[in-house]
Amino acid sequence: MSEFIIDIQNLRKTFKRVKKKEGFLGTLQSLWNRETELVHSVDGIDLQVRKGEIRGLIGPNGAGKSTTIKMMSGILHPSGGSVDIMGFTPWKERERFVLHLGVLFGQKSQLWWDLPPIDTFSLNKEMYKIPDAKYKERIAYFQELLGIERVIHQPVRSLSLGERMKCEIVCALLHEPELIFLDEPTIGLDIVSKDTIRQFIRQMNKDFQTTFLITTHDLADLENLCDRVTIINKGSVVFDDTMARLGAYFTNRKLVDIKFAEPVGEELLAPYTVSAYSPLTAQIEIDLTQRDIKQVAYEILERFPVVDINISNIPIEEVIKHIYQT
Amino acid sequence: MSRLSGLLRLYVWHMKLSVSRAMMYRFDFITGLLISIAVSGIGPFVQYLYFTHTRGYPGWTLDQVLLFQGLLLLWFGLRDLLFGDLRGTVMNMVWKGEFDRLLLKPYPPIGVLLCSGFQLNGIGSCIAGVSLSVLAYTRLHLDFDIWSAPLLLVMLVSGVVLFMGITIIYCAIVIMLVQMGRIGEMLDMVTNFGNYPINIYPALLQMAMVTFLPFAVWTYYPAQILLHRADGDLWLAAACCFAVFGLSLVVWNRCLRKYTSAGG
Repeated sequence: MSEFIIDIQNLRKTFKRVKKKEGFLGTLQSLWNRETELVHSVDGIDLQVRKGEIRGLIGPNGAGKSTTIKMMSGILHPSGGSVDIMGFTPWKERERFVLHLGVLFGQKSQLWWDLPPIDTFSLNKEMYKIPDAKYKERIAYFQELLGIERVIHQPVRSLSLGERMKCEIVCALLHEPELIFLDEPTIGLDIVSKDTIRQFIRQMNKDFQTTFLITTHDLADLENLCDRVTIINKGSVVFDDTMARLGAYFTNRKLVDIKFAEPVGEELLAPYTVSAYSPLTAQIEIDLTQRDIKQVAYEILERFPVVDINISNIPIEEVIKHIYQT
Repeated sequence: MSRLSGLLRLYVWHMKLSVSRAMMYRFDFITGLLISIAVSGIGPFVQYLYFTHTRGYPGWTLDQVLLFQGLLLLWFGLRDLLFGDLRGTVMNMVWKGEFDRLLLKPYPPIGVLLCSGFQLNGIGSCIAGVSLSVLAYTRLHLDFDIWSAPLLLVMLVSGVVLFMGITIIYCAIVIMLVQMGRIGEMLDMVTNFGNYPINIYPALLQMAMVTFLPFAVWTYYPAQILLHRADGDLWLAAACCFAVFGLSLVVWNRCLRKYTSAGG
């Protein structure tokens, strides 16, 4: 038995796309002469996830995250590579595989719009052949954790986005899957709903050792939930390590935030790389290959009327932006 | 076998939910039902006008044609009741990428799709069809042969299987092409051949409608069974329905591999 619940090697997916020429004439021309191009949406991804892990999968739009998730769910057949998830090859053993998998696409609903969520839950109960006692136990568990006692008996169309998302999560998790893919689970939600969902994910992970793979554009999801993060860009993995390592990505760069007791002219900061300035505050970036941080700190304290000084790593947001743009 | 029973249970659940949904909007349902019954009457009325102002169909009396029309309406009603507008649904799902969620269920996606087709709106045509059939049958003063019942059941099952086969082929093409509105219309035009007694067509077409396009099982053979004129070819037609269904599954499974989903 592999130590990994997900083991992906050299996964590839190539789509054939039609290149449409510009303008009306181009449209007419494409009726009899169509140019196509091969797009390598996923281009040799390797990914390993351990059981009980909460893994973040991030990347800019069009990086290949969703295509990867779809191949891992058995929705798409890959063009090459191998996928072993819980001993299954998803697209070959799809029907048996999905019994162990829960998937939530944050922007697509599986709830019946005109009926209360409890009706969709009942349909899923039937679909996954969940015994009555287990079903009741699960519903009670979700009601308590997500606070949806009242919500599940109201028609879906009358629910708020946050309430709907909580019910979507119940749909995806009702059959007690060991592995869950969450595609932007907090998209469009308010702070309170986001927090409830994050707490819920942590609790599920703790109570049942459920493994989560979360794709998101919300860095707070990563910071609050994930042990490790995998960054995909242009169809390839460009970073795969712990959140701590991501935070310390720029080991040779530090930020120094300074608060001054009285206004300081910008020209006095000229010897430093200033990334933000106001007369009473400044942020400077130190390249540790050029300067010693201790020496810079002493220098600043000596030269300026400092009331507060804070040395930190480059923020994760900046790190991710840098990785995306590389 | 367990997969089939699972799908049947799923169908019943979908049916219950679909009825619940229809009852959420009772006024819409009742007006829809009344309009459906009224509109259903147009077809038989046109046939009545056609029959009384022309020489009609060779070998068919007016009451026999009305029986045929009643059974046709009943078939339309059953078809809509059992599968609703599956073609429109699948095209919309594939276009928006929502078809993905069917692939996340522990059943064959085409099974889940067919199971979700129930629409209570078809009940109007069913009521109109049964009423017209009973009226025409009474006017014909025919004795009901007990052996007709199992034969009618065989035709019903074969008709449903054939319709599922055609729907599956359509869905398979949608997976490949995404948009195909006019092909759907063309398919309707071909299946419309089944809306008339097949013995009015040339011999070659008659043969086609019993073999590789066995539309005769939908209305023609049920009418012939009730009129005590069914021939042995109905078994051939029934067998061909299952062959079309089998073929459709092969086509579907091949096309499903080509599914590309929509952007994330």
